[in-house]
Amino acid sequence: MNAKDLMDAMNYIDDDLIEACDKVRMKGAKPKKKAVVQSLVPVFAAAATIVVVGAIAVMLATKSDEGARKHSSFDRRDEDRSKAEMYYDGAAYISRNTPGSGDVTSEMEFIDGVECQDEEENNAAGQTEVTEAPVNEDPAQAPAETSAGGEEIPETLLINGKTYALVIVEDDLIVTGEEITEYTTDHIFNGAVLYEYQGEDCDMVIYIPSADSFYYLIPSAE
Amino acid sequence: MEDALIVDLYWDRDERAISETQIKYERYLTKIAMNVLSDREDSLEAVNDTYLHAWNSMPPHRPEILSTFLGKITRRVSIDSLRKKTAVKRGGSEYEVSLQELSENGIEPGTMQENESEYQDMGRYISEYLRTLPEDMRNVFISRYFHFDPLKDICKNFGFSESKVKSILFRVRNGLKDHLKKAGYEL
Repeated sequence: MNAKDLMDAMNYIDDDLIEACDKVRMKGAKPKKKAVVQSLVPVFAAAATIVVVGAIAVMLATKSDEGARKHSSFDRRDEDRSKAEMYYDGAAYISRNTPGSGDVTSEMEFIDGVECQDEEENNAAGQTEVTEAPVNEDPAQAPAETSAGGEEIPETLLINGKTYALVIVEDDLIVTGEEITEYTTDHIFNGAVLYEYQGEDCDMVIYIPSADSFYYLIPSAE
Repeated sequence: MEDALIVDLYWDRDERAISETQIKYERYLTKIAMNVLSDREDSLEAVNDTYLHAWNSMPPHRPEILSTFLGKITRRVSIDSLRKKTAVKRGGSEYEVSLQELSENGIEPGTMQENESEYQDMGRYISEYLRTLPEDMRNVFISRYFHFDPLKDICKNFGFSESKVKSILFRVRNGLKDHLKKAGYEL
């Protein structure tokens, strides 16, 4: 037997074997591979959808950022304008809007986290502008002030058994209230006078002639 | 049209049997003929000869699978045609390449056996061996040595690399050789 015989003998193999082979040949590529290609179609569609949605989200976020940046630039301009009128006295930032600028005139101090407003502020529209200030964590560690007369001014005063923190009033204070005469203090200041004060965080001020200054008397937590 | 109805047309000696066969199987048959002859005109002639052989065979034959019945006719007619042609000149058809491949496994080209019944017996042994193979290996072998499909077509149809197809063919040829030897054939 030779190769040609074998080729001729191949013409007599069973029909069902040839038919089974024909089915595969007619299909072309294997179904397994086709299935892989088909399964990738939804994957690509999902990926494309994610990309499109992501792009839209990024665009919206960018627009939002631009809007926020515009707002913040406006805020910054206002802040800069306020900072221009702000000064630091070593214990507190005091910021003040320029009278007649169209803004509500107000005055505010942050001292050790305590906010005080004078009577003029209360009479105003009540709008305030907030700025951060360096906080003195422990008032006891702060050096005591010394008046022009060499008289040491403590940070706290005990008045009628109640402790008050002294915070200097930086601006001219117009005293409209009555002098408080019934209170006694554990400190004796020459010519010191207690006055009623209708503030948010304190109800008294003390005038110390040797320092020629008014001090808010803020009730201490102690 | 269903194969059974086409066969009925042959049995009824209805000439529509030829046209219906042409509509359904011309492409399939032309592919087999082209693989053997590598010539368009010769292939069309081989396919037309197939229709004539089918017309003459039915009746008395009533094939269960018309496609393979016609394919076998086309294959035989094409190989005969090629043998007549190669007596004049040698070509590079897939049939000849297949013969070369078989010779690589020690099955040398030689004189043909004249007795058709011997081919039928050998065909039965070949079928017997092919049934022992995995389906993929079996189909690759039939695709190559019955249909004479080029290797690149087999790779495409079965999703295998060329090296894998070559490996399959080599292993099946060796296995077939051993099987036929056991059956008493001298190779």
